[in-house]
Amino acid sequence: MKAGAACSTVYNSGEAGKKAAEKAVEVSGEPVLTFLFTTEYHDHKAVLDSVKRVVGRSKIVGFCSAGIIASGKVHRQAVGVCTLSGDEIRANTTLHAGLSGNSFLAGARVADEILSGGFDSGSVFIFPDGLTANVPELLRGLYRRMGPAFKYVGCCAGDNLKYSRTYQFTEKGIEEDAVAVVVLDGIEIESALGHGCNPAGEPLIITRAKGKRVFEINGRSALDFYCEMMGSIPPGRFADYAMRYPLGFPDIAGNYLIRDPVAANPDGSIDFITEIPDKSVGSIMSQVPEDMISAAWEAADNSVRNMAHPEWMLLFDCISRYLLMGADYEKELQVINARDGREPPFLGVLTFGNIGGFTEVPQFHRQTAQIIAAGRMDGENGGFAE
Amino acid sequence: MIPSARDSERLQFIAEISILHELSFLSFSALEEEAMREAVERASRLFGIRRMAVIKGVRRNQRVAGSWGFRNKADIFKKIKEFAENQFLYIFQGCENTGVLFMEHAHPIDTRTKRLYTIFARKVEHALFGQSREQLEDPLEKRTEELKKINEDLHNEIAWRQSAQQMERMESLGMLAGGLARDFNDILTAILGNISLCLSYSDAGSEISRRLMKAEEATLKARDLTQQLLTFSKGGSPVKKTSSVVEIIGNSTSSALSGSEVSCEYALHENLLPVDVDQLQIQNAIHHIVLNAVQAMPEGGTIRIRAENAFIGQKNEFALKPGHYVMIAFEGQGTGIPQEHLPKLFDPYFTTKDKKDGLGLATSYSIIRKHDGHLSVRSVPGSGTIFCIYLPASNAGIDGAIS
Repeated sequence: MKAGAACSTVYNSGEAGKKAAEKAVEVSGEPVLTFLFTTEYHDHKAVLDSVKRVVGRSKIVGFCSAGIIASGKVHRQAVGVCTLSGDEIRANTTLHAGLSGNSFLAGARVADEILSGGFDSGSVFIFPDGLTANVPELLRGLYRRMGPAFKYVGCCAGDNLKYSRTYQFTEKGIEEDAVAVVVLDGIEIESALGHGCNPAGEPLIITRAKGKRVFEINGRSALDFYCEMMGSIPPGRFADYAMRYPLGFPDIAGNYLIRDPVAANPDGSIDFITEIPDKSVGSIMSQVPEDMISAAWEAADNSVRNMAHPEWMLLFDCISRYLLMGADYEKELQVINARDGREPPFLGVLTFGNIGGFTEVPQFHRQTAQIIAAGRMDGENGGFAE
Repeated sequence: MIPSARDSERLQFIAEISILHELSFLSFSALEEEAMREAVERASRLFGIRRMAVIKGVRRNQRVAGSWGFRNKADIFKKIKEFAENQFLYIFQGCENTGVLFMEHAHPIDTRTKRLYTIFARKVEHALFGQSREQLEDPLEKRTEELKKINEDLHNEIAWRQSAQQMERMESLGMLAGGLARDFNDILTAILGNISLCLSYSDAGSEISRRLMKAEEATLKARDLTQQLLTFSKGGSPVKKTSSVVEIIGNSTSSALSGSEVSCEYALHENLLPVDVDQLQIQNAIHHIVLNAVQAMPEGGTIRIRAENAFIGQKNEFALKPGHYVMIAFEGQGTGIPQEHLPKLFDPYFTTKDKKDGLGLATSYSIIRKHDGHLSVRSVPGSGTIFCIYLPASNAGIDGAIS
């Protein structure tokens, strides 16, 4: 297997797609699969068309994001391309729209499509619309039939917290309110993630919730309770507090799934990024940059622990980490890069939440840094180009 | 907010308590398909279950009510027959429509986790077959009790660590303050001696004499302060004798109350054990505590002083040796102390009052520690503050009480 990764910050969308794809293909050779990440300011169709012209018959999968991470920096307007080639690799993509209707059903249909393509195992990269989908439902629908024979990784498309629209792509086209999926066979994938948040209070009970809306916590108005826990929230600062103090829901091993509030409603309810199950029990979480960076380092380390020579790496980093850490964010990128003391061949993207698991069952995670490493123990080396 | 819990043991404890809470509140939809979806959500999120199936009925009437993580039905029955360590099988009982709940994890399931699975399974059973809740109560309550006990132990351990850290910090500060105070005391002695000498050479009533007397007065104040620092640093080795706590309290409160609008209300246990203490030092310690309470009530009020015998066990939050103690509590009606000030309250020179030296409570703390006792403070802003002293009871008193 050979891999190439490149990022172009050229302003013209077609030109940016072409340049990034050409540089990646220069290293990988004719690709079987192309990951394509763009940012919200680009003309996505122009990018996709220009990339398609370069990568030929390669399958393409990707989405728009709030930033591309390359060379230890976040590029707010860029195109990132990662190409994989090799006779042993098999890939197939699916683009399924209409997630806002019934995400569970959408997941089940994607599973049917993958299985009908003759794949019994492999790695599934899932890139849904993070704004419209109920991602946990989508994952449960997908996993229901596919089960543990596959590895599941992915992340959500986002738009830099404007909450307006996102785009998903495959070689077949561009969709909104959709999920772009690729199943990949013939490569060993390792994925690890971490957030570094810690519970900062007594457990609380979601006493009334429906979907993404929480009406009551501990039997009181959700907003009253949350504000009281914060001391007080100055007007206009709810979003800031919500990001800094999300809720966390633990599993039996003590790992927390982060769920952040996005909006406070006049009726005293709070809307969350994704579903909050009724009668679930969690805690208010807090984080400090040191713990966040340490969690990212640990994830990077875990992702390559069993891989002597990772041939390429992807970093899916939740945008809230970038916003929360501010100037410290570059340290996170540094520790991920420094994990084995050499320049890593990877491409990263700012996401609206990640898909992976502390166990092998895929869950939707917020505020996590997720590192995906791929390669074979005896494989050829990949390369990184800028 | 409670400080962030970082160590994995505590995180796991909070996680387990949270999951138990969640399981106790759990109820599923009456619709079978909806109930299965909800059960899958909980099982995958809480336990990381990778496969799950519910089969209703027996033999020919068997049917898969719901499954997750399986390609086809044949796989479900094949898996159930494996009886592997990473699998959990719960047989629904006590009703006409029997069946099974099957769950599979990636790794072998330990006994602790199986107990939680059982509670979860009974909830599923209740949803699907309407089983009575009483069957669930036993294991849930038993585990809750176990966790409460663990919680108490953890709480004691955290308090013990904080107490030990405070002692360590005070000891280092004491050494530093003691060194400085001794040097300073020597210098002050030289200054004072020379002032006295100059006074003897000057004419009484002259301007020079008047100025020298003022210098002498200021130097004496500085010496008092140095003495206080010395007391804080080494407490002056206590000269202990068996004393009555009632007498000590009586002697030490009156001077602290003088000139104020504050009075004391006493609730002293009748058979208080005697204590082996340096009476003057303990009076000094109590004096500072009462004085602090008086200063927190400028409008006047009442300080409630309570004393009783107490037995401190092996695991205690104060880092005290187990045994019999006399506990003296001082409850003021002031405005309370802000939470952020509490950890520094016994530090020397920590004060929120303009004209105070901040050595009073530090001295009290030091004296009590030198007596192998403990001084703690609890305060709720707006509701007043309680200082609590534990002093080891005299062996003579304990023997007397036993005989």
